[in-house]
Amino acid sequence: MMKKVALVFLCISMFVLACKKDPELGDVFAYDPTPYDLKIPRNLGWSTFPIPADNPLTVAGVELGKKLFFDQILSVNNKQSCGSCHNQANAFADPKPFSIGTLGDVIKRQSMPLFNLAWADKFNLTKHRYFWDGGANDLERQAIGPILNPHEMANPDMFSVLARLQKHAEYPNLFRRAFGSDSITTIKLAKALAQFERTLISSNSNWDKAERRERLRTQSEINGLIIFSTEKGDCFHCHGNPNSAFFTDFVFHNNGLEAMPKDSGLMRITGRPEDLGLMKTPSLRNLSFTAPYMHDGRFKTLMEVIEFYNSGTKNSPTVDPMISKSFPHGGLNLTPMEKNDLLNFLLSLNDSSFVGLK
Amino acid sequence: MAYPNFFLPSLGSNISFSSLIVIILIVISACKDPIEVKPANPGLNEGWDTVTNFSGLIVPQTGILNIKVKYSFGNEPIIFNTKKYINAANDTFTIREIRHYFSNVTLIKATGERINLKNYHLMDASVPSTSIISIENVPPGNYTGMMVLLGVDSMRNRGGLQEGALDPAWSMFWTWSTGYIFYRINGLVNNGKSYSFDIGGDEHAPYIDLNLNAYKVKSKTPTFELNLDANEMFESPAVYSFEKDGYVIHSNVDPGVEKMGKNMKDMLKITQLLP
Repeated sequence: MMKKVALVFLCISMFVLACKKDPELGDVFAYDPTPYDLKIPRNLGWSTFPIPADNPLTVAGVELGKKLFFDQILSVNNKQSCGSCHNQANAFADPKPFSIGTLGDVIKRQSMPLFNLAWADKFNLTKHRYFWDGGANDLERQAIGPILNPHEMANPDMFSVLARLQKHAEYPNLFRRAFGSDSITTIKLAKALAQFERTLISSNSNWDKAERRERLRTQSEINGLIIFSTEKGDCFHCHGNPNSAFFTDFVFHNNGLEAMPKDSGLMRITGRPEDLGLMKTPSLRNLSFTAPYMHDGRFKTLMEVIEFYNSGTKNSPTVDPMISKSFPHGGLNLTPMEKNDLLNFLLSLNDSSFVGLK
Repeated sequence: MAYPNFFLPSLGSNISFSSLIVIILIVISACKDPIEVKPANPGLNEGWDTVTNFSGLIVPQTGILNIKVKYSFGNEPIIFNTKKYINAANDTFTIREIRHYFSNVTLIKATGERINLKNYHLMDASVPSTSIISIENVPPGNYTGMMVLLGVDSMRNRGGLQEGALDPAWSMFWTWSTGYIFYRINGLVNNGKSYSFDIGGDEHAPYIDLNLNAYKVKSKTPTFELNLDANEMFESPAVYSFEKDGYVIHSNVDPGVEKMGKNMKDMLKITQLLP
């Protein structure tokens, strides 16, 4: 009897000792809520964006999200990471017109670039915010879309992904450091990826440098800026005015690509016929790195895009009024010089430091 | 199915071992302190024990609501994969799967005051343990109505990610789309086709009202036995025909989802209310 009691006592004390984990002993994987210092420029046009109260940015969380983003462990056959189709050298877009999934499936849209994303939470007041067709309400939900899509990372369910991460030599510790517990869940995975994505801020283009008085705009850029921001080119209605640092309005438009939109766009999500063919306005930043252009990558060069808006837009019941207003005039009627100026303005929005070129 | 089928969680039940220890420690330490019990609202609480002339449900003190959901198709039992069922439109089919959310159980007083118990449960008709639930901290009162949502409220449906029953890992979530699948049923049709209905979308949320006036039960731990009639989504107010309305609903905007959502509002009935 005494033996039994002693044994029980021993078990309990071992258990208590085992539970004791002293962070002061130098456990590098102890929970570390050190906030991440987000670098947002302070000049005109920039502002903070809302961060969900249940997912504050931490150094450990962002670091974990970055590791996950570039890790092929997230795909069903360990062949593809988020970074496979969101290539940093391409401002986290895909140079292919249609991205290819981990099993070789051709996806029907191009991967969108990833930068300055979270301002959508501020400037898009609907619940449809992310992806070409608004198929994700927030960055946390967006993050699990590709993981489970049968044509993208092709995991049949989330449990197999979580099991792979849980068995991994490093991830349980990294999740513990970021979230306080080494049990890996869908939510923690999505939160880490979203944290990393919120830190992808591109703010160092020639345009930004000119705003910060670090360089002078060329005359051609100034001419292009005027075309951009006046009724002449009328780019600004959708791509944001010059006082906005984002060059997108974060919402959806039919820009007149087709008389009969082949891709239903926002209508897939809302079911409203008036949303047929509406796609999210992409930012005009980093265009040199994000070719080809449009949701289906149909244009290879920026000049093709400019020529499309100049003379190629097509009427349809849902075409944006800012596009159709040029129909009676047969298009924008830009001269070759004006097109060139517009191009130079657009090129001034490239941020080579963001894509790791500098 | 890749998930452990014997266990579906309620929100917050997905706790790790270490947090279990923490909970135990909290409980133990809580036991040391004298717990001051004061009536939450003496005026309201007073005399529930002596009240005899009432209808509906009286929960005399803060209590626990037990709910058991059973499933049928009309008057027939659900036998998965083998039994054939016929709906009002004469579609003949088997049932392979029924899974649904069961949330926002709300008790309603005669005055109209509504008390939302804010539960989130995911039930699988083929796993009986998932459709036996208990909701704690039910405030005392006399209730004459109850409301249940066979889905997820718009607040939780619209944004963010949640653990427990609302974890997207349970595959009751539309990735690359607009939120949770509220109710899922699928199977094979006699004509060699299959059908698959995933119902969701805030605008189609099946809120179900239940009247308690026919009962007279006083209990701190009442048990509701509910029956979910899977046939009700195919009729009343409108007949749903696979051939005419579609064999597949896989988003909140697919044709047919609106009709289905309205039909579902009479899917649940109280079969018993036990003390």
